[in-house]
This record gives sequence, structure tokens and C-alpha cells, in this order.
Amino acid sequence: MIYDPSSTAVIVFFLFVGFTVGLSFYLGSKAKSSAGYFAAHGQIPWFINGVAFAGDYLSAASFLGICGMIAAYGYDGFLYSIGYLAGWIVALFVIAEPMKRLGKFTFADALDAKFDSPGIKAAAGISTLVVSVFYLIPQMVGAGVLIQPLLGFPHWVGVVLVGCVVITIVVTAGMVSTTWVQFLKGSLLVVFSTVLVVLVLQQGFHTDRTAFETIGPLELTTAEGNGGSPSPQAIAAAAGRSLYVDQSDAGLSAPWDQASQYIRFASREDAGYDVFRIEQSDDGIRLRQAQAVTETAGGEKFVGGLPFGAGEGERSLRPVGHLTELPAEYAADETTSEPTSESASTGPLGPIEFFDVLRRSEVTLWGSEKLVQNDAATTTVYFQKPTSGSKVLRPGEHPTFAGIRSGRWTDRINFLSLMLALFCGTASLPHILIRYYTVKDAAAARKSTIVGIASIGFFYVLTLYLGLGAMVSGTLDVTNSNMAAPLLARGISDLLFAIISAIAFTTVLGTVSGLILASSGAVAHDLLGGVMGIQFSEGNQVRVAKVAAVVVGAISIALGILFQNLNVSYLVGWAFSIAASANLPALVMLLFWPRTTAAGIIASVVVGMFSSLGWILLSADTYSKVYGLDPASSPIPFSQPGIVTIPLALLTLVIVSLLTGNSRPKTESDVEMGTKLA
Amino acid sequence: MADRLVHAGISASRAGHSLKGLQNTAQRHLRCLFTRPAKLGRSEDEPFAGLPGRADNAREYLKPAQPQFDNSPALASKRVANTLVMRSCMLRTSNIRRSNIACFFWESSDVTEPVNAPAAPSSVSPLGLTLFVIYTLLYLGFVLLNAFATETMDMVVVAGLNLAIVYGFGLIIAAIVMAFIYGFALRGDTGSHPAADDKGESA
Repeated sequence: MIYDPSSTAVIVFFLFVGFTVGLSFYLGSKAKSSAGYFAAHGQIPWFINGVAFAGDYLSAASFLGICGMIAAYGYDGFLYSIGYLAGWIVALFVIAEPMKRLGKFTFADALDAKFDSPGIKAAAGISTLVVSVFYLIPQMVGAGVLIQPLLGFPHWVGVVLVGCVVITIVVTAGMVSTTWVQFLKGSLLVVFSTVLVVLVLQQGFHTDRTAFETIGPLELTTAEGNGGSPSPQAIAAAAGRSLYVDQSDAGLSAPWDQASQYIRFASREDAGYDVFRIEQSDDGIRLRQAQAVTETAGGEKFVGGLPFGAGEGERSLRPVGHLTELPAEYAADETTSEPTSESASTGPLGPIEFFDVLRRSEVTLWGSEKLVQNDAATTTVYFQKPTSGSKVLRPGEHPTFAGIRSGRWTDRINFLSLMLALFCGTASLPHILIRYYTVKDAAAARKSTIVGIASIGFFYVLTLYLGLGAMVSGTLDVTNSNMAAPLLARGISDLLFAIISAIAFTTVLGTVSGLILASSGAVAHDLLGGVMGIQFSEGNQVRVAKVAAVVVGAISIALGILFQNLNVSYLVGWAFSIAASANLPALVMLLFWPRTTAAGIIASVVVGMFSSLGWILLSADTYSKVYGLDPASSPIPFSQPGIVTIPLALLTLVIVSLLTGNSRPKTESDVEMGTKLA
Repeated sequence: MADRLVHAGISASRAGHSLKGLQNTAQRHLRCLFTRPAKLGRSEDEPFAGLPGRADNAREYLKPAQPQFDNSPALASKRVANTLVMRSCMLRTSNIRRSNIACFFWESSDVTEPVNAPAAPSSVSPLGLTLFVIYTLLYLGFVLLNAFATETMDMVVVAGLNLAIVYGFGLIIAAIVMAFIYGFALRGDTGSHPAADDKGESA
């Protein structure tokens, strides 16, 4: 699709960014000390901190990724919403208050509170860095994806822009400005998503069968063709169209000769072709219009045989996402009044009715297929998949989750493993954990977690409406589902699109600044201060942390550009698995098992981190998506590591602690007493 | 002797530094501490006898920790311990019975588990754990149904909604409701140590 950057969008966007950066500079004057830089002096009110939790947590993966996944496949994306929220239960009931009591600035503080061991600081600091970087890459990639349609800049400009803005935010005022940016973003995100959902419900559903052509059913006898299917000529004749003849010398037609499931007709409007997918059914042959993009080895892009673009003699991909059939009670008006009428609508719908109507309707989803040619030109064909509404409201349609319907045990375990990682991952994400130190006491930590759960939970309820609304909005980009929510807004109003896009952008800002702050704390406080024993003065510590923030920011900019083609939510899944395996077993056992030793914790963090990382790097998913190798050659039976590596880390902790069990840790009351009275 | 003493601590009052409060908390924590009177002093009446130079020289330990950035809990707790030893010394001169003040020492060489040590340093409230278990079971049910009885998710349960939607929304709403229940139940709690409080009250 071609996006025209609208001036409203640009203005709203720069207002947002300008305001956030201005706020950072204003708050910067208040955060000169380490306590101010890392933990905002513990003076953030619990309500603000709670909304900031939402701002921190609802990353690009939540807003763009989940909505996009729901828009493209239905309910499956919502499984992520459920898993991400369930993780907060672990955070509230198990982690929140002890975290606040035990630590000071970073997650490593809490883990190390009873031991004072440089080894723990090193392990926890490194795991913080690894998880943060894995989490940062998708955020940066998301920023690039977002800036392209919004401002018309290339991908790398988006990444650099986000990187620079975030570094400014973090360097000026550390946790104070980060918190306020996240608070702002969290509340705007929830408020405007609500507005969007209300508008979607107000609009209701309407059918659109004219957006893409369907020819047929055509009655053809198979005897005319070869291999049991009719010849293209016969189909063309029956459809009243003429076959497309490739006149260019680019040799782009070769792969089509093998792809008998598609047929190309000469376009009636321009020199290009219209591609149709041939579907055999009992009552004859149906031709459903598809869209094709060809990319040559030289990087030239063609759509339907014409150069990609919006000008004369050029073509671009058309927006997709339609509802093709409504339940009988709504469709009835259409058939009785005028049979040729192609549109029926429901009018405003209630929040429950919305699902009921959709379940009984039919929507058109889009699939894709790659046709590869010898000279490395690749054609991607996007084709219509009429799908019953009941299918988009149940799990198991997305490739990641399709396994639960395959009946294979490994696929089911893979699903369980992913859901376990989501459940355990939240409470071990370093950028979430550091937010417990910005409030004054354990009670405030608890209250802000409750506010966080309420706002995040409410937002996740909205994701299903947003995603399904986008699915039938007729505005989706067939090549990239990540833009579903902003494009849904564009279908309603340009201003709303501008606001939602700007919020999506601040979503990236909020999460990235939290992550960079967590990483800079890990470097300055845990690794340099705690492990290497470098004693900084108050001001120097902050300076070192700021330098670390700039370095981590620069690295993430580079990685964001490097990995621009990797799937966003896929990488977030990695971060969750690593965090859940490396951090959670150590944290939970420290709180509940008095015989935990320093060596046990170090071993658990290291084993959890490396086993999950190794598992991911050797998994079939990574083989096919990252290395481009045959997924069947992967030595790992299923892709999600959590179900193996979390218990493994736990077991390691228990065994090592039992073996090294003669160094008794201080009881928590000692530690608590120390922190309170210090 | 001095190098063998790796830690000195005393129970402190969270509620404030009033003498009464200090006494009460000291008693409460006494049970989880252990002393080694044979090495540390002649009798309980001389709780500081084990310190080098006895109480007069406790000043050695009273030096405030070096001002430095790393205000880690471990360092802080050592400093607090020192401060409290000093406080105890001052109390000795008053009319308050010394036995009400507990201080404890242990040596790095042969530490054994204290007989009356708390079973686990858990500080999670029982209500929190109960809610956590309930939610985990709910979530587990959802995940297992999805994995092993996927078709049940298609079942229309109520008002045209299938089980996938009802259970999914149910989990989100349950999380929010449980969070509020928890917050409401602990609304008077200021974030102190619930486990220690319970023990203190029952003592």
C-alpha cells in the first residue's frame, strides 16, 4: 500500500514528540542524584506509577502486534492479550511487595539483597541487558514500520528518530521523565482506544462485495483441460475476459506457468493484469480476485505487471478487509428490496451483539503465497480466503497457534510453553521490575500494580474489538498487519488516524525509554558498581548511567535497522521466554525457599538465560525465519523454550543451593530492617 | 575476636524508635536469633560481653559506614546494626531491663541454622497466595482446554458468545476483580511485613 503522509498527522506527531521532549527537559532539573535518576526518588504517586506501568508494558507488540494479528487471523492474537495480562497476577500477588522491600534501584539489587555477592549482580545485570536488547529490537523495528506511513520517511529514519528522542528523554531526567512520558502515553492509549472502539461499535458492520471481484460459479467441464482442470483459455472464455500476455522483456511471467491455481486476465483499465485464484467447488469454478507483487533481483517492484507507485501507469496494492455476508436478519432487507444491491449494514451494535453478529457472518481474510523464479525475482500473491465468522472468533487459525488443531503432541506442548512463558515473563521483565522502586513503599507498589492491571486489562479487552473492527474495516494493508489499528482509525477520520499514530509512536517511546533506563542501571549500578567494585560519586554514577544509556540506545538503533525484516511479536516472544527462564525462578525461590544460596541463584540465572537463548537459536522457527534453513533440520522438537527452560532453571537452583548450602543468607527481616532504617 | 564477628544486629522497631516499641519488636525477633553465650559473654546480663573491649569499646562498631554511593541493603543493615548496638548501650544506663533488648551475633566459621528461625522468608500475604492459586488454576484450565479440547472453544455459551470469548474475557475481568479485592482487603496495610506482623501479634 502507498500511504500519503497527511499534514494533520505530521503536525499532531511533532506536537506529541515536542511535548514529551519538553517535559523531559523540564523534569531534568529535578533529577540530579542517583536516586532521582534511577528511581525518581521513590516519590512517584502510586496512581501515576500504575498508569505508567501500562505505558511501560503496552508496547508496540501489544498495540500494533496484537491488533494486527487479530485483524489478520482473528481470536489468536487475543491469546497474547490473555497471557500478557495473566502475567500481572504473578507480579501483583508474588513479586510486587517483596521487590520493593528488597531492592533499591535495579532487579539485581533485589536478587542480591540477602547475599551481597558480585556474582549475583553480574548474572542479573547481564540477564537484564540480554532481555532488554531482545525487547528493544522489536520496538525499534516497530518505530521504523510506523514512521513510514505516518511521515513518509524510510525505515531507518524512523529508527534513528525514535532512538534520538528516547536517548534525550532518558539522559535528561532518567526515571522521572520516563515515568511521566509513560503515564502520558498509557492514559492517551487507553482513552483513545476506547474512543475508537466506541466509534467501531457505532458504525456496526456492513458488507462490501464489490471491493474485490468474484467471478462464477462457472460451469466448465474438466475434460477440456489437462490434468483434470479446465484450460486457462476455457476459463477466460467462460468468464468473458481475455488472458494476459506478458509483453515486457523482464520475464516476469515464468513462475505463473507452474502456478495453475492462478489465472491472469488483461486488465480493462490499464496495461497490467488482474490475477484471480481458481477455486473448484461442487457448483463449478469460482474465480476470486487476488493481488500480486513482484520484486526483481534488482529491487524493482511491480504490482499486477505495472511498476509500483501511485502515478499514471503505476499500480499499488489495494486496502483489504471486508465483511462479505451478514446474518439472515440483516441480509434480508437486501434481497427483498433490490437483488443487485451489494451492501447491507447492521447499524450501531452493542459490545456483546458485536461478537454475536460477527460469529454468524462471513469475512474475507487474506492469505499469501510466494512464487519464486530462477533469476531470483519473487512474486507474492495475496488471495482472498472467505472465512466464516465463527472461525475468526476461536483459537487456532494463526500459524503460531494452528498446532493446537493439528493433533500433534509437540504442537500442543509448544502452545503450553508459549502460554507459560507469557504467564511467567511479565513479572521478570527488567523494565517493569524497576518501576517498583519509583514509589515510596510496598503498599504503594501494590496499589500501583492494581492500577496497572486495571488499565492494562481494560486495554486488552479493547484489543479484540479493535482487531476485529480493523478486520472488516476495508482499510488493511495486505502486506503488513502491524498497521491495523492506525489504519482502522484512518477509515473513520484523518484526525483520529493522526492521533492514534502519534500515540502508537509514543508507545514505542515509552517502552524503549523504560528499557534503556533498565539497561543503563544494569551497566552503571550492577556491573560497574556492584561487580567491578568501582565506587562512583553520586554525580559520576549518574553520568556513567547516562553514557551507558547513549551506548545502549545507539546499539538498539543499529539492531533496529539491521533486523528490520524480522517479525515484531516474534522477537518479543523471545524476550519473554528469556526473562521468564532467567529471572523468575531465582526471584521466586529467593522469596519462598530459605535454603536458596548465592551460588544457586547465579547458576539458575545463567542456566535459564543460556538454555532459553540456545533453545530459541536452534528452534525450527528461527531456522526458517532467521537463517532461512529448512525448519525440519532443527534439532529442537518445538520452538517455545519456556516449558523446558523454566523448570530447568528452577531445578538448577535447587540442586546448586543444596550442594552449597552452608552459607546462610540473612533473613528478610534483617534486610528489610536495613533498608528501612538506612 | 573482632574478625570473627561478621555481623551484629538487633531487632528494631518499625513503628518508630520509642523504647516501648523497641522492646516489643526486640522480643518478637528474639526467637529467630541465636546467641552463643559461652563465647559472647558470661551471662545474659552482659549481652555485650562478647564484643572486644565490651560495651565501652562498642564505639569501634559505632562508626557510621563510610559515606559512599553503594547504599546496598547489606551495607545499610550493617550500619543499622551498629547504630542499634549503640542504642542498646544507652538503654543499659536507663532503668529498662537489659533482657528486653536482644542483640545477636554470629560467627562466620560455624554457623548453624537457628532453632527458631522463621520457616520461610516469605512476605506474601496468605490472601495474595490464595488469589494467586485461584487465578493460576483458572488460567491453567483455559490453556489446557485450548490445547487438548480445542473444539470446546467453539461452543456457544451465552448470548451468542462462544466459550473462547467468554473464558478469555472472563480471565481478564477476573484479574481486574481479584486485583481490586486484594487492594481492598489490604487497604489499611502500609506495606509492612505481613509475616512478621502475624508472628508478633501471636507472640
